[in-house]
Parts: sequence; C-alpha cells; structure tokens
Amino acid sequence: MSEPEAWLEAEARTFADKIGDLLDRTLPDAPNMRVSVLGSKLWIRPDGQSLDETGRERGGIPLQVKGAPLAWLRVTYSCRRDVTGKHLAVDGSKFWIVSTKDRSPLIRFEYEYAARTTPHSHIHVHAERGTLSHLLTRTQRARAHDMSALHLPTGGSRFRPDLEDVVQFLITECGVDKVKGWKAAVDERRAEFRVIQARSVARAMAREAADELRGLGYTVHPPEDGEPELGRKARFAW
Amino acid sequence: MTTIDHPTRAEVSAQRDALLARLGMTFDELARMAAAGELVGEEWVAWAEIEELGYLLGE
Repeated sequence: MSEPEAWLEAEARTFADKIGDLLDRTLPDAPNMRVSVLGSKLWIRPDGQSLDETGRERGGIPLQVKGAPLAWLRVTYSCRRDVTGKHLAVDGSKFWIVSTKDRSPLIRFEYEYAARTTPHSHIHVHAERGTLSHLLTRTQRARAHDMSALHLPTGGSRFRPDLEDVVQFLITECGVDKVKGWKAAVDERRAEFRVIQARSVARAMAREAADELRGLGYTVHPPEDGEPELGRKARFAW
Repeated sequence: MTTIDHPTRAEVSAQRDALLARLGMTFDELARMAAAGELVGEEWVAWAEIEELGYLLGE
C-alpha cells in the first residue's frame, strides 16, 4: 500500500470510528461502520446497510419505540482526499429517516458539496400539504404536488446540520429509543464538528475573523503578502 | 470497530448491475423515475445506493 493510500485508509478509519461511536452511544442496536475504498474515493455507511437479494433493506440503524423497530436511519458519507492532500473532504452525506411500513423516506437530510442549482445542505420532507401544492401549482413549479421535491435550505456547507443533530432530533423530537448517556455523545461530536466548521469559516473569511479577534483584544497581523479575498462560496453559496 | 474493504471497479459495477436486476429496471429507467419523483418503496434506497456506487466509480 502506498503512503497516500495508507493515509487515506487511516483517515477513513478515524472518521468512520467517530461516526460509529456516536451511533453506538446514542441509538440501540446500531451496527459498526463499513468503509469501501476505491482509488481516492470513500463510501462510509453502517455495516450491512444494503438491499438484500430480495430488494429489501437490511441494516441501517434501527429506530425503535419501546423495542419495536418502526423506522431506520440510513447514513452515508461520500468522501475523498482534498486538493491539499492533508484533509478528508466530505463530498456528500445523506441521513435518511426511512419508514419500515412502506420502506420509503420520511425525511432526508442531505449535503452535496458540488450542488449547483440546489442548496448544498438541504432537507426533503416527505409529507403532504394541499395549500402548498396549490401555491406551487400557481407558480408553475414542476412536481407541485410533491412536497419532497423541495430542497429546504439549512445553512450552506459550513453551517449545515450534522449527524448528531439528526440523532438528537430523533430522540428528543420523535421520541425513539435511546442509549443511556446519549446526550454526552451528541455534545462531544457536535463540539468537534463545530470547531472544524468554525476553523473553515475563519479561513474562508480571514479578514472578518481577524477584525472580530481584534475586538476581543487579540493582536492579529495580516499576512505580508496581503489579506486573502473573502471566500465566495462561504459568502454566497446557499 | 470499522471494517474497511477495497472493492475493484468490476465488483462495484457488478453490485450496481445486481441492484438494477433485482428491481428489473435499467439505470436510465430508474434515473428517469427518480427525476420525476416516481420512486416508491425499496426503489428509493436502491437509487441512493446506485448513486453512491457511482460516486465510488467516479461517475
């Protein structure tokens, strides 16, 4: 195995272990994670989360109410080595709440780094609301009858919800079974994710970050070759 | 504990073909249904998995 391949595999294992740890400490009977590596691309999901030979989903994370599985959480991350070769970049993530009744999604939390026309981070809600359909019909939107076709924006790449937010939503809002001590796991993972995102935002908006730090009493000097432009994507992408 | 595997391109392609065979559809048929919002039941998860395998293949 070459050095870049070994690096990628080590990063993938660390990342997947953290996801697995969060799930194991929050939702009962969550399986371990599996990573498939092909070239520089990674596919990360719970082990066994796949369709079986009859086309039925097996695996995912069961969402139980008093021990009865009523839905499952389908989790996937699509990742690669970033252009610097120093970080793992998430190209996409999908956190789907899927009903065991009709085996189709109820809510989909999705992130797509390369999205062009839709919000990078968005939610699809699989529900019905007649007056919304009426409004969308009047605006001549395609699939006006289908609320799940809408991409509800959720803060762009840097301020998007992550898996721990979905887990907390499932436990506190939906009332699914939980593992004792789940909140500590959510807090740990969220704090880590938000530090990573805050650092990314500071890099993309260095001038603004420097001004804010000066306001707090820090001494911050711009680089000798001048301050970098504020990142377009950080400012404008939805 | 995370498991790591290293499928070949041929294996990933075969996995995708097997998913389509189980549904009895071609890739284009399933993609058209996804775009039109016509997926039902297991087709949703199958389409997601096919897209994810496509990502691995760099497509």
